[in-house]
Amino acid sequence: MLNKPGHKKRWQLLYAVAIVASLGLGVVLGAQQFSAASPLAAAQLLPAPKTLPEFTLENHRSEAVGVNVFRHRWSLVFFGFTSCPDFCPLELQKLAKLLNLMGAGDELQVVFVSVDPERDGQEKLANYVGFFHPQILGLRGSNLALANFAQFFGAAYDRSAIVESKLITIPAGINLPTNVGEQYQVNHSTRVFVVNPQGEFIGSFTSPYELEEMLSDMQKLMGR
Amino acid sequence: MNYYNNFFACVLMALLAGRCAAQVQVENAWIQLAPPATAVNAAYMTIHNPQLREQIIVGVSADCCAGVMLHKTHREGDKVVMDHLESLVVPAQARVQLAPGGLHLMLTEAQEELTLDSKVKITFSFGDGSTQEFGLDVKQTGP
Repeated sequence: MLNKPGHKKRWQLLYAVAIVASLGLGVVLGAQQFSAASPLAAAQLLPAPKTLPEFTLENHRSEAVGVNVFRHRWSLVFFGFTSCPDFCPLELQKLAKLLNLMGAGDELQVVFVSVDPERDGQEKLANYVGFFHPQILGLRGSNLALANFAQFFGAAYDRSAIVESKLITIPAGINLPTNVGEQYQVNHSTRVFVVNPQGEFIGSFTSPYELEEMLSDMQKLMGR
Repeated sequence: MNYYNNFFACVLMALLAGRCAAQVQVENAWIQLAPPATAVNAAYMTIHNPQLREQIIVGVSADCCAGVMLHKTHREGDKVVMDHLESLVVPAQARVQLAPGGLHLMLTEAQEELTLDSKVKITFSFGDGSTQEFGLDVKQTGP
C-alpha cells in the first residue's frame, strides 16, 4: 500500500513543503538574531513611538509651521539659543557633519529650536542655522508654544539672570522680565531627539555621543 | 666700572625673571568662528604653568571685545549650564585645558564682528598684580 505511486508523490510534496518551511523559519530566526546582535549604538528608543501634537511655530524664513514640517523625512531636533558660545555651535557643527556624511538630501533634516525668542529674531536665527548647514531648519515661537513643544520631548530648559544682585530663574514658557536686560544665560537640554517621517518621536541621542555612532544608528533607522 | 654694570645687569635680569615667574605658557590658543551677527565667541587654549607655585588668573581682557568672561560649561542632569568663574587657578607644574564643552573664555560686545582674518590680543591679570598678553587667531575648528 505504502509503495503506491500516488502515496509516494504526496509524501514527496510534504517533504518539499517541510523543507521550504524550515528554510523560511531559519531565515526569519536568523534575521531576528542579526537584528538583536546589531542593536543601535547610541540612540535610545522609546518603548513606543509618540505622535507629535499639533503646534504652531515659525521657521527661520518667517513662515508658520506645524506638525507637517516633520512629515516625509527624518528629523533630528535640538533645543538651544544663538548666543550660546560653547555647546550649541559644537553640537550644530557635529550635526552638520552628520548631514554631509549621510548625504541624505531631503530625507533627513536637523531642526534647531531656539528657546530664547526675545534675543533670537527671525533674521538672527536664519543667519545662525545657515552658517552651519543649508539643511538645518530653525524654529522659534512664543515662550508658551516653545515650552509646550519642548515638554512633549521632555527637553528641559530655563533661563537665569542676576537682577539686583540676586540670581533669578525664569522657567520655560515665561516671558523674560523687562528688568533682566540682555545679559542672561539659557540652560538647555543637551539631547538630540529623533522624529520619523510619520511625525512620531521615536527616541533620542544623549550627549556626548560619538558622531560615528549616530551615523551608523541613523543609517539603520533610515534603512540605508 | 664694567664690574658694576654687569652687577646691575644681573640684578635687573633677576628682577625681570622674578616677574616672568608669575606667568604661564599659553598653548594652542584659538577663537571659535561664530555665525554672522552672533554677538558671542568662545576662546580655547591650554594654559601651562611650569612654575613651582600655582598661578591665579584673576582677570581677563581682550582688545577686540568689551566683555570677556571665564566660563565653565557643566551638566545638570539633561541640561547644560554655564558657570561664571571669578578666577582660575593653574596648579604648579600643571596644565589647565580650556576646551569645547568645558572651560572657555566668552568674548562679548566685539567692536567689529570677528572673522577668520581677525587677530585678537588677550591679557591675563594674575593674583600677584602681573599681566601677560598673548595673541589668538579665529578659526573654524580647533587644533
